[in-house]
Parts: sequence; C-alpha cells; structure tokens
Amino acid sequence: MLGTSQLTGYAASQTLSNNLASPDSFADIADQDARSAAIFTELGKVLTHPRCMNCHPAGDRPRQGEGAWRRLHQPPVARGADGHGLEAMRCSICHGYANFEPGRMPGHPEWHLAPREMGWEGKTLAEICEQLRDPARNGGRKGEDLIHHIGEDTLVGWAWHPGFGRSPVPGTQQQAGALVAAWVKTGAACPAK
Amino acid sequence: MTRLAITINGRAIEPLEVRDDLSMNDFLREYLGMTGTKFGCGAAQCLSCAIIVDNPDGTSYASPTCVVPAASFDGKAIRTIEGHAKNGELTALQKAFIDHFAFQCGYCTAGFLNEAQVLLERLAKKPVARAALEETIAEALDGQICRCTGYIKYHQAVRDVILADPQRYLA
Amino acid sequence: MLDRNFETQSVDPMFLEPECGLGWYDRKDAKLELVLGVQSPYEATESIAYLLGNARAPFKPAHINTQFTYVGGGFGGRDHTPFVLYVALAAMFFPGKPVRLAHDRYQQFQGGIKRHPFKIRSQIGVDRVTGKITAFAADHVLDGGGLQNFSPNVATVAATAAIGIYDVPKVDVTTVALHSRGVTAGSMRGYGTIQTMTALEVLIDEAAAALPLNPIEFRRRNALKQNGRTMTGNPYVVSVRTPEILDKLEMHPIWRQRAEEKARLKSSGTLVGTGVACVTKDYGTGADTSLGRVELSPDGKISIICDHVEMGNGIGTALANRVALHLGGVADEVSVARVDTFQPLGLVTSGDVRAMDEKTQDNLAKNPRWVPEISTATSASIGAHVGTHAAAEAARVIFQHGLWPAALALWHIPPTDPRAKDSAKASWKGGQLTVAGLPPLDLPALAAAAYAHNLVTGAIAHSFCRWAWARARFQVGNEQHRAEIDALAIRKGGGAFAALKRTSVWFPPTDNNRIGTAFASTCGTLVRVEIERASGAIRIAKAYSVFECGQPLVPEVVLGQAQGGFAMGVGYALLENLPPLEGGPGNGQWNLGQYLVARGSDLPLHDLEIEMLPPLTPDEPPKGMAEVVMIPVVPALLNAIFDATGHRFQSLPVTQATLKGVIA
Repeated sequence: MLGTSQLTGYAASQTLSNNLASPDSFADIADQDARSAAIFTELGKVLTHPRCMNCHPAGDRPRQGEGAWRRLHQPPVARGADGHGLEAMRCSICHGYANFEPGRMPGHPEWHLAPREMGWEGKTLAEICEQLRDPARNGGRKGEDLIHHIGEDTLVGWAWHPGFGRSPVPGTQQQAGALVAAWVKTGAACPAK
Repeated sequence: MTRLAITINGRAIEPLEVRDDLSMNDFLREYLGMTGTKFGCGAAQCLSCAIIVDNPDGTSYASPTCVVPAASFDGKAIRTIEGHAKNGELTALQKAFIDHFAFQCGYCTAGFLNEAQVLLERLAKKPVARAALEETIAEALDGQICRCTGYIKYHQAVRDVILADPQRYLA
Repeated sequence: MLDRNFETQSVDPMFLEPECGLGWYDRKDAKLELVLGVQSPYEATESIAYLLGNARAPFKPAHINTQFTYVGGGFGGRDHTPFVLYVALAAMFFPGKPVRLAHDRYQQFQGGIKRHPFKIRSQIGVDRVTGKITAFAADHVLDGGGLQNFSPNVATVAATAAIGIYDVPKVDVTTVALHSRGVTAGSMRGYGTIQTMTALEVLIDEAAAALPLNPIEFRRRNALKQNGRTMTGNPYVVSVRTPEILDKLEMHPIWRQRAEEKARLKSSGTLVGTGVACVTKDYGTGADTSLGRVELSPDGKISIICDHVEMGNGIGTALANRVALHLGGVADEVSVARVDTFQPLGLVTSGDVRAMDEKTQDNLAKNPRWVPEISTATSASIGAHVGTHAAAEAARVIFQHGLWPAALALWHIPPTDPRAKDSAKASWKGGQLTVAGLPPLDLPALAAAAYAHNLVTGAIAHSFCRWAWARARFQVGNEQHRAEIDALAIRKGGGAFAALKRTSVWFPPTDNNRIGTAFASTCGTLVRVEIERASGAIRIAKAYSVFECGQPLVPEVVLGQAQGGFAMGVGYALLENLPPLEGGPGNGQWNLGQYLVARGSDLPLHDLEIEMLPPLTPDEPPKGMAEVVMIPVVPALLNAIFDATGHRFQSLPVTQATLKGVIA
C-alpha cells in the first residue's frame, strides 16, 4: 500500500522546494555585471539541484537521490558511446516516456546523460557559469538556445515534475527561463566563485 | 485505460483495455497467470522480472517489467521464459544452466536466461573477439542480481554456450 | 594483551523472492487452507495452530491444512518468520474469500527478519615467547529488535564460536540479546558466529602482527586439535582438519606472493593487501530431526518424500544422490517440504527436547511412538547430514529387506548359503547390483522380484540427532534391523505401510544439551585486494577458499554454496548496511537501490578458487558447510585492507567512502 510511504516521500520533497526569484527582484543592483552575476546565482539553484546534477556528472555514471541519500545510480549504469547507456542497459529500457508512479520510475522520451563536457559535478557556480556560456562546451549554443534549452526543453522540464520521492527543482521552468533570458540580456556575467 | 494488443511468445493475445497504472509484471503474472516472470524488487534493480522485447528491425533487448506500464507494450512482440523451450526441447542456454548447476533457488533464473539469450542473438549479429568475451558477458549480466550463486557458474554457462559455437558468436 | 571493540551492522537476508502466502477459510466446514513458503514447515503449522487454538468462534478453525512450496532463497530469513501468522489471520478475517498476502520489496525490508547487529568487546592474552594464547574474554551485546524470535539462540551460538578454531585454556564469554525498538533480528546464515569470528580473526591478525609472528603460524600454534576440548568442554565428534586447511592457505600463491604483489604496484595509485582468516562453524542445532519416505515401484522407479525444504540448497538432488548409494538409481520423483505423508509412523512427541532430564526422557521413550521432536527446520547447514539421513536409512531398509533378498532369489542363493549374509560386499555399478562371481542385476529386475516375493518395497523413517543419532532396533521379518533411526514403517510388495514397533531405542543423553556443539566444519580464505588511492574503490583481485565437508553428496552444489557464500561475505564486509531505527528499513523506503548486495562486478568472477578437501575416510559422513564458507571471507577482507592501508577497521561494513576517508 503506497499510502503512508507516499506521504512521507512527498513531505521530504516539500522541504527542499521553494520559489525562484524573478529577474525584477534584482533591479536594485545598479552595476549590470553584478546584477547579471546575481541573476545567474539565483539560476544556480536550478543548475545545482540534484535533479539536474545527477545527469550532468563529471564521469560516466549518473547519480540518483538527494541529500544524505544521494549516491551513484543503482543499478550500476554507464554513459556508453552515445550517452544513452551501454548495450545491455540502455536508459530507455527502464526510463519510459513518462514517470511511472507505481514503479517510482522517472521517465522522459529523451532520457540520457549530458555529454562529458557538460558535466557540472564538483564544479563551483563560477565554473559552471563559464562552462555554460562557452560554445565549445555547451553544445554550440548561443544565448537564445540556452534560453530555449533551460526554459522550454521538455527533458529539462521533467526536473520540475520528477515523480514519487524526488523533490522538484525550485520555482517553475518558466521562471527559470525568465532568469536565463535576463542573464543573457544583462551580458551573461559570471559570479566570482 | 489503454488498449493493449501484444504478441507473447509468438501468439497474439486478444486485445484488451488495461489501466494505465498496471505494471507489465502484474499484467503477465496476475492477468495472464504467466508466473515464470518473477517479481524481486519492483525497482528495476534486480531484473528478476526481465523479459525480451523483439524490435521490428530484428534487434531485441531485455526489459524489466516491474517499472514499465503494460500499456507501453501495445503493439509489441515479447518473449517470456515460458517461450524458450519448444515442445519440451530446452534451449542451449537452458541446458547449459542445468549442466553447470548455474542456478540455486531459481528465482533470478528467468531474468538471466532472457538477458543471456539477448546477448547470444546480439553476438550472432555482431561477434566479439575471444579476448573480449568475458568482459562482454560480465557487462551484459551485471544488471541481474542473484543472492544464491555468486554468479560464477551463470557466467561460465553462458561462456561455454558461446565457445561451443565460435563460428557464430566470436569474431 | 589486546583489548578491542568491534561492531557489526544490521543486514537483510535479501532472498530474491519476497515473502508471500495464500489462504482460504471456509466457514461452513471451519477448514483453513494455507499455502506457505518457509524453512520450517512443521514449526509454521504448530505456530498457526497455537495462534488460533484458543481463539473464539468464528475465528477458530476445526482443521488447518497447510501446503508448503519451494522458496526463492531463505538464508535463515524464512525460518521462524512471523509472516505466516499474518497469512493465517488474513484468511480468518476474510472467510470465504481467497486471500493472498505478498510483500513487495519495500515491505520485505520493513518486516522481514534481519541479522543481529553486535557490539563486541574482546580481550586476548598471548605469551610472547611461545606465541600461545593464554586467555580470551569477550562480551557480546546483540540488538534483537522488537520480537524475541531466535535471539537467545543466536546469542548462545555466537558465544560458543567466540574462540573459533583455537584452543584457549582460559575463556570467559558473556552474551546478551537486548530487546529494542528496532527491526526484528533472527536467524541468518552464520547465526551470530559470523559476527564473533570476524571480530576474532581480526583480533588474531592484530595479535600476530604485535608479536610478531606469521599469521598462519600463529593460528597453527593455537589451533584446537582433534580431541581437544572446545569452549563448552567437549571435543568435536567429527573430524578436525584445521592443520590441513592452514597448510593449504600457507602454500597458496596468493599468500606466498603477497610481498611481491604489494611491491609491484607500489608506485601506482593502487594499494595492495593480502588477508587470511580461518574459522570453524558448527552445524546442527543439538535437536535436529529428519523424516524420509522412500518407495520403489514395480518397474524400479524411486520416489522420495522429505520434510526438509528446497530453497536453493539442492536438497532434492542431495536426497536423490544419497538414496542412490543404497538403491542404485537416481529418484524419478522427489517431493520436499512435506510434513503430511508420515502418518504411518504414528509419531508422538512431548516435553522440551532441550531442557528435559534423562529420567524424563527414559520414561517417555518407553512409548514406542514417542520421539523427542517430530520435524525441525531446514537451517544450521543441516541439509546434508540431517535432511538426507532418514531417507538414506529408509533406502537402506529397502535394500536390506527388499532388494538384497530379491537379488538372492534371482541368483538362486538360499538363505542358508553363507553368501546370503554378504550384502556388504555388493556394490552398484552403472545401475546394476554387482557381486563378484555373480551376474549383475539391474534395478527394474530387482524391483519386480521384490514385488513378486512380497519383500520390502517402501520404508518411512524418522531420525533424531542430539550430537549423536538416536539408534533403535526393529524386527523386520525374522531379522533384526539396527539403524540410526527411532521410528520405522515398511511396506511389502504392493501393500500398505505399517509401523514397526521398536524393540529397543537409545536416545542421545539429555546431558548432550550442555554441549555447545559437537559437529563442525572448517574453512579458510585468502584474499588479495587492490584499493584505488584516489577514490577508495576496492577490487578483489584474487581469492581462495579451502574447506572440508566430509562426503559431498553433490559436489557441484557444494561448490555453488561456496561461491554464493563468498559473494554474501563480500556484501556483508563491504556493501550492505541497514541504519538503525527511523533511518532504516522500518521506514518502508528501502529497496535495492540503497541496500547494495554484491553484483558480478563486485566479485572476482574468474579469480575465485574454491578447494574442497576430499573426505578423511571413504565413509566419512557428510558435514554441513553452507554457512562456514561465508564466514572467513569477511575477516580476510578486513585483514587484507589492513595490509593495504595500515588501517585496522573495527566495524562493518567497510565501504568505499570509509576507505577513501582513511587513505586520504
């Protein structure tokens, strides 16, 4: 019976979730670079959230879970040649087109690992920022593309509706997209650390 | 509710409506009474529940059934453990498992057989070098958990089936 | 003198098939039907009868019919499990409806029996000159969780194993199991001894290093000899082969090459270490029973029925092989987990088998149908020496009073001929009974003759073992049959079974209840580990386990147990951990994503060497070994980790994170 345990899982997710500040709330920072960096720092709540970090690993293995229970993905799966898993353990074998709650299994049609060069694990916010705005490491994306990726891509969007026992990323995808747009518009400056 | 039309072990099952939250494992075991597919963890960790899915392009993969909705198998062709032996004649893998005493309680065995069968069929299309064989088997079977055997004889049985027919499986 | 504390963790048996059961209560005829999967069928039936025996109508059944299945693994977790009581209750509270109670894995982690966590304090004194252990003391505290279950027994057995393979003149051990809010702990492979002997073998290793003395030589100097007195004062009555095991360990390349292997990878980012451990594990509980029913059809087909349980231990194959020694053929049908078809024996039991005094036992034994215990659990590694015993004895009766006289008839040898007494000279070769100078006879011909001459074609036997088998005499025709059984029924030709009255019986003395253990088998393990400095990731590069188990009834099954035991030992040492109380499995959130058992990638699949010593003598009986093969793996790994890192861990598990923390 899922009843009680479902409630417990949900309660855990609620404590981690909170809102994202809107770009307007940074309007009183006069210096554009400082304002831009501050906006990125707010966006950092999204980028460094376990729902994102778990599939942007430094190595070839994803993580799962969060907080004290964050760990290497079990079963032990690896990136494979195309980021979609090894031959006998393709991501899509378990991760279907959508979340399957009775199995507590998250899903999306494009489930896979971000490429190695987009790994954020172990990096500071400043380093992630540099990486994100570097076309050589962000898949050749320009500002518009980044706004689309974070603000509209449905795999990224999954992070706000992750299913049983997983806390969603703060705010909404629209709010995150607005922050990216504002960051790009203010010159895409990076925080000091 | 979603319509589910599926072919199991070569036989088309009469299409029926299934709830969207019904797992494939429950569909096989509870609806169809096909209890050869087991339930070990319900979290895609042990793969005691794995069956074979045959793609239209001739490739196949082993799929868990505990975390996948039955509805998502609509239009698919699958093989379960019940479909391996034909007219009482065991497959080479099944015989090898018996000869090697590869299993003990048998609960994980259907999953192993399905995963290993997929491996054999994959190698028949894309053979590997002998030197890479043990690693290839290890990678293919690492998703299966067994608590009784320590895995060694499972791996030996699969390896011996392959070595018995090197023309087919080895480069 | 060393004074150390050691802690072990709570772990789950993690058999692959979660517990489940079926029930149906028909109110009209007050009949409760159950289908259950347990290691202890008779005990489950008794428990349910006790549960419902004093219930008020409409919750008291008039009949309870229980059927028992094969199970997907047990490891102790299905022995004395409270789960069956809930199946019975569920059926009673939904009369007229078929009920299925099935755990999912979250629930199995939540409600299933666990292994006891131990807190151990040990002191060991060693004479520096002689290298002999002079004294040993230990205090054990076990967390038994919410239900008592087997806690007192686990505590006791753990304590009697506290000095392992060693002979120590002064020993003082206390052992206490505590009730707590935690998950219920009970039987699990090793039964307390894996905890105490892990602590011991780590301590022994440290003592050897402190002297300093070669760790294997140190063990050799202190090993208990064949007739040496164990902690509880008695000698083992089975073979003690520790010196051979230690010699094998010392001669093995893993041990001999340890220094050069360490040096070889010295400048790389990998730490190499080698570890050794040697343990002895008792088998049998001191009150074990065996029931066996063997029948021969007119065309020579053999069927066997037994009360022991198949959980992956291969009891069916072992039964068939042992019976084949007497009847020359492998059974066509083996049915296990049966407690229903032994009625012809008319067994009765009473009293507390472990507490009664000799006078009480003698009085009770006067009833030819009384036995100290009717049917006990498949546990304590008893499948081989106990589980198959009664069936083997039943087969022996069929041979002696069925097939042998049938052979004599076919050979036209009259009973007065001296060769008629030479059944011991006969042997089975390729399914044929052969005696020098006489034409070989195949089983179907012998069976047909046995039926034609109305000879014994079926037997049901019961046996009891309290560190020695009960013995009795039965009159079979005009012959007296003496065997290590305490009840016998036979069938002649196609007739019905009828019990034979035992003309005398010897039960092992009740004083044997004092004995901690009289049966044991020994196993030693070597491991070589490689630890990656940067990450703390550990790889088991090579391992070797050597053990002895008397006569292996099915060598392939024994090998499988050793391989599986190794894997379970690795999990217990390096991977498995259940936190106590709220963060643990009681919260219903635990599954195999958090609870890591050994996968193929955690094991040396191509570098695990298992060696089984041949039996000491051709007629050495089988020994239990399914637990002993798991135990030395754990301290061997800890000792190897010490050799690699210089850090001696005093708690389990030693995970990658823990290793990384101490190497940094």
